[in-house]
Amino acid sequence: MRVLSIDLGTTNLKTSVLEIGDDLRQVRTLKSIVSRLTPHTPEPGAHEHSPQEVRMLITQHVRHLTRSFKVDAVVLATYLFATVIVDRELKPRSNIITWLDERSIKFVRLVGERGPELYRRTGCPPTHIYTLPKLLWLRRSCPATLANALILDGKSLLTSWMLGYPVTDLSTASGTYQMLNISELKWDPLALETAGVDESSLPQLAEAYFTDVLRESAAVDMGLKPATPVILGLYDGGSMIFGLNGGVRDVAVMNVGTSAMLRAVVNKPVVDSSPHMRLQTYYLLDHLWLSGGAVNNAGVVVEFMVKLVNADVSELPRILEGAPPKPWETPLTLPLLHPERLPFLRSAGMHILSIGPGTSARALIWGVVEGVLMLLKLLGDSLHENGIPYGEVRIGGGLARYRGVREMASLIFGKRVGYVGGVEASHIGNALLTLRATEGVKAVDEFVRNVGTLLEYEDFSEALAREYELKYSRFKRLVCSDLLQPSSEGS
Amino acid sequence: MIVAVDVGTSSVKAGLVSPGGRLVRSYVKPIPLSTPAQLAAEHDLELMWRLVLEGVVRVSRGYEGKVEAISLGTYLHALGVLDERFRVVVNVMTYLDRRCHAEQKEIEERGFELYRRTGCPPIFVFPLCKALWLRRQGLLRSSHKLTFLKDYLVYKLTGRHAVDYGVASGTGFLNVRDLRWEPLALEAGAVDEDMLPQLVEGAKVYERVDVRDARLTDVAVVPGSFDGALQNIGYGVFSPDAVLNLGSTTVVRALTQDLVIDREPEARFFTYYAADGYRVVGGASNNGMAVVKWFKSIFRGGRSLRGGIMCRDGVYVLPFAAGERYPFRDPDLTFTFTGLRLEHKHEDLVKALFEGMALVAKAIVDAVEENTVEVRQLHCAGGGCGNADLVRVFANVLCKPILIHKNPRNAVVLGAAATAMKALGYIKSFSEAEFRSGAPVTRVNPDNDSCTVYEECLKKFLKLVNVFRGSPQGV
Repeated sequence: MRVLSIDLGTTNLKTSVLEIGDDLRQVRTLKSIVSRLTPHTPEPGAHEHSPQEVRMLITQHVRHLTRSFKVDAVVLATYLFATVIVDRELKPRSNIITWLDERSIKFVRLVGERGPELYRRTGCPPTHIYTLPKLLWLRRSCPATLANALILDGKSLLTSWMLGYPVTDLSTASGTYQMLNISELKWDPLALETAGVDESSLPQLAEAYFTDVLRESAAVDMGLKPATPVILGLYDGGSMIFGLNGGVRDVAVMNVGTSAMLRAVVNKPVVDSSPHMRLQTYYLLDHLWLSGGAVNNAGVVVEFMVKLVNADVSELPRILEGAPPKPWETPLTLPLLHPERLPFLRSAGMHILSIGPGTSARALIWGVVEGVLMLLKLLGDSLHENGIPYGEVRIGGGLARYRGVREMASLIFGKRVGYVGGVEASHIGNALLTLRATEGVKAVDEFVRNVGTLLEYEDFSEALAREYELKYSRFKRLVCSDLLQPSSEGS
Repeated sequence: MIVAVDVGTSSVKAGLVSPGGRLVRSYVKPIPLSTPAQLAAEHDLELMWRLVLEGVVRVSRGYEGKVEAISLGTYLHALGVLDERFRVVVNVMTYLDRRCHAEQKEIEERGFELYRRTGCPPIFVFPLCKALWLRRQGLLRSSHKLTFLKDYLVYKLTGRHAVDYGVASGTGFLNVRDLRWEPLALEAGAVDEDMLPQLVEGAKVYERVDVRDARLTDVAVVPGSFDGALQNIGYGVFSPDAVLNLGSTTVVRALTQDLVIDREPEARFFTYYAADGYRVVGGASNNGMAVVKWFKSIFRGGRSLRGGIMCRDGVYVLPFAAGERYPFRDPDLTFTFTGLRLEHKHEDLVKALFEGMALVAKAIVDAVEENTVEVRQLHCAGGGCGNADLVRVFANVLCKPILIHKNPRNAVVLGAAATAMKALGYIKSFSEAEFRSGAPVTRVNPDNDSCTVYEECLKKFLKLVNVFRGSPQGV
């Protein structure tokens, strides 16, 4: 079976033709095309994508690929936190406002005392990245945009073109809007009231394996057969998690790319019991949820450090492929270059401690990787504290390609870290969803078992892991240190 | 004519100075530093003497009948061991030698009382700490003599073992009030007074000698003082002015006739004897131009510097690549960045580093001023004076004018010449000595708006230092 995977990420649009083996033992990527999306910043703090550009790029990609490959279905994956306003004829009134857009930051406070209750209902802590605070901002800055409008996310924007009506999957909805009740899997009345919208302004909801057929006009545009099945798919990170984990509990999944995340699958919606609201809890599919969190500062900070030490970016693979330095050879790095999406990670910038005369540029770069992995371990601790244990971690994302990064992850987490080489985890996830949609749960289970045999693990030293545990204790104290918080600036 | 000698940590210099204060001829030879063991940093004592003698011979050639005195300046904190016949047993451990790191913590227990008596905080650089280590290693016996380098040169010239109060006051063994060896310090360092050289005034003639290799007859040997004090004297920098040395280390040094000891238990500055009744008050940061050089080897980039004030944006560099001695006595402090954001580039980091170095110097100046030693303006010395950006940052952070001298490298030689002039009676006090080659030529004034910002930055900087010094947060 050949599937066309359309993956709309924050940085790139990636379209691939995947082949799922008849014996359900492997998925191969036959061809991929990647295009960088143009970020638009019409005013300070803004970060938008053009819906027209996204549509044009998808059309170009699909036309190009279908010249060489016939496909049996299309599966979608889109980034979270995308907010786009369209009119009732589904024509865009706004650009796609991404999670990097900071204009809604000061409107988070309007949620006020409802924050903890909304968190309990939606799994989304009060932070600016979600649609709800963006609506509060838009209502004050340009109310006309919202009049008689539909409020879509990345997934429903694509389905409005491809299917002719806006429908989004429950995973994307729960991780984007801060308005989906994750227990009832319906739009939440308190959240809708807070945002000042009603259900009729929002897309339909469906499971990620919901399938409908491509409408004729879209099929013609893209060079696909009319009535080609379109599978809604998960959000991009969810697809990767599903690919690596297949819905298995006791296995957490970590992604280390431009941003990073750590999530585990749970069979009920678990939110952080502490007032810090450290966990983001989203729906996955089939009455499974994801609990964990994501950090904005990952590969983007590694790139920053490479530039800072004036190293050649082409040296990075050689550095990260090798064995990581010992914990005492790297500085202690709190890599909070960007504002974080988790309320408890507030900091006035990036901090690098314990640089000694023997510290090299290589050690500084590794220090950032270490800091990113320790941020994820903070999330891992939150999972444990909320009764979500995990014995193993599976890793994906751009930086996970490098053996050294995987070894460091094993050392910092003190656990086995599994990796599937040769194919992207999100492609496995999209293949799994296709099987779920076309052949049912049994095929998925068999495929998951087969994927398990492809996992590679790095050996790691228990003694070094204990050294990392000590360093991690210092890291946690640094995160909690009042002096590094913006509120104490200049005091 | 006077032959003035300056033995620094990286070179031996000698100069022939005319009675009018003109440097007629000079000599410079580098000194190799050896590291025979981990944390060791030694100089070959015999080689040092040979280089000094060669310098005296070279600069006095052709003026043999006119040389009236040889005056000596040497670096501080050196410690070597001689046998009873003054043969070298242990070469000179320099101030960079860190082998007595463990003993420093032991001395710390009596730290403030020792500081109150000697003017020397409990730091590994001092010979007191090194002597204790040597004793523990079995390298120091009661029949041995301790040498602080200056006394070895004096011995080689006169056959007598003597040291000036200035160099002695930088050993940690001298009572800086009474100018006698301090019993509490001798006990702490496990040293008998018999092992130490005789104490003499540096600005008086100690002995008249013939130096056959240089064909000099009946020349006065003037013990002089240590290099830092002579730098102040050579520039003519007396309180309320101070020297700001931007060399491998950053040093702030004021020459005053008062004995000043920090009232705070942190012992944030040193107090040494200089010569002729003057005392030296100040502090030395380990992290001077050596850190800039190291930093640029890692964070490679362009030469331009950002115009804005980094600490105002919350960006700080704690520049402690080599631990710290003053005003924060902590060998375990490390280099730290805080507050970096995406928009920051290489030039911003360099600016933040300069600010960090200057904030350390400001903390030293503030500590000295809190103890009633006014610092009105600073005279720049050392290689860092050639970096206009660095000097401007220091002027703004310290909020004081900085004067750049014409030839900053000769100040110690000229200071040694001044002590000889005083010893020979040509001048009544150091302030009468006027050296044209040492005159200031440029003045960098602080910008008042920047001063205000940096004053606020210092408060945050001190808090950050406290966090990283092992406070309860202990990061």
